[in-house]
Amino acid sequence: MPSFAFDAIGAPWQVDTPLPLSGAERGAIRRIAGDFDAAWSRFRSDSTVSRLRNAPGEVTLPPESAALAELYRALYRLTEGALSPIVGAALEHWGYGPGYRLTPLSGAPAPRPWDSSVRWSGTTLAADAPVVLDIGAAGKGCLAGLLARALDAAGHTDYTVDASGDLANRGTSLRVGLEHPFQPGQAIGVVELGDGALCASATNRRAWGDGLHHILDARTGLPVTTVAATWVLAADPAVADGLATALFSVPGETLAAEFACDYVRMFTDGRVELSPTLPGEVFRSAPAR
Amino acid sequence: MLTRRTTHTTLALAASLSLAGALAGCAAEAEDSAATPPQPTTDASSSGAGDGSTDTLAGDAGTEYSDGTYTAEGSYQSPAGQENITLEVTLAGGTVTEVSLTSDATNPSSKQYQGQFISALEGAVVGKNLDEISIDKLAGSSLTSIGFTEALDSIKSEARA
Repeated sequence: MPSFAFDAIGAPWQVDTPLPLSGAERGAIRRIAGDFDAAWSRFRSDSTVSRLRNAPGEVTLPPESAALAELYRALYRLTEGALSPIVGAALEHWGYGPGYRLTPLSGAPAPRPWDSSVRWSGTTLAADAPVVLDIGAAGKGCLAGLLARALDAAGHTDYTVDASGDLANRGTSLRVGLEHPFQPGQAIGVVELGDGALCASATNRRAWGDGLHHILDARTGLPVTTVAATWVLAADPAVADGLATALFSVPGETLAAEFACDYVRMFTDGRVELSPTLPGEVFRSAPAR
Repeated sequence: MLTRRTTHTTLALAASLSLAGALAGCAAEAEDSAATPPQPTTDASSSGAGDGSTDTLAGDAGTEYSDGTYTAEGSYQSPAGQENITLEVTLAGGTVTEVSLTSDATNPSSKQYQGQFISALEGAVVGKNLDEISIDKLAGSSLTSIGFTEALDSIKSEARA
């Protein structure tokens, strides 16, 4: 299958289609990805969200903001505050920010509850104090969804948007390996992905020593420690992505009660928790005799 | 007392598994130990396994993990007497393909504690090599942020300099 490969929001992406995309379609994909980065990236000083980094104020975000804010609100509630878009300052405290310092500042981060000074709904983000908005939990899925909708609108019915391991698929179904978070070159299971999204989250790669990685508990500002990797299947890529991050804080049942999804959650001790209707299997040790 | 001792035995068995190569149940250690040649005997006794622990690893213990079935037997003294457990790990292509644990405990408390360990073991995932499962895509974090990877590489090379 022909692939159109490009870089977006700091990662390699590709779109697979049965026939090559036209030049105009490739251009449209690059433009959507570029606009998304220009609005949302906290790694860019010229982005829309970065305007609130040093001073309070109000900014207008692109149309996808409305659904994203709603999703974040639901995840914030379901995780009892562990997943929050206000976690950016804590991530940057540990060194995961513009310039990739990857060296922690001294002391501990001082996390704030979402509602203390930030209002985000619709396409408006307003802050009474400087804020580093971080949509890392669902941003990649959100962009994958925007690209999928653009392909839909252009009449495509068979495609895969591959956002470096997060997938939005339509048409031909895929067999997807669940990458082992500790053993390169291995998978811990396989799932079937038809129309919909599969998003993965793991602490192993974006990690920089001494237990520091990019998934924090927003209530404490500290890295989560018991969950190693998560996978979520859901119709919408942004939802799948957000739920995959939320699984680092709460059990799958809590999320499945509100969102139609399937999931796999692997703990650092090798145990796994999976949804009863998972369209696939997780490889496990044989029963004791 | 029994709880404590049983827990120690559990840890020791987990350690012997990580020596055998790749049990995800202690994956972090497994990753580290992957670079270390397996020892002819497990560190069960040095980690405080219990009294009279007699663990052995059958099979080839060279620098590579040879395919085959490895057996470790553990015994410890409980208030009810000596208890034995046998652990069997099958390796194929450097991967753990099967783990089983057999207990001959008759004492109810021992049965209960060993049962808890056995069920924990059954829940553990076992990785399979990508070339032995037919897949179209891989979902995970192997490809990650370009800037992050470059920054980490540069920090690593500075650290080596």
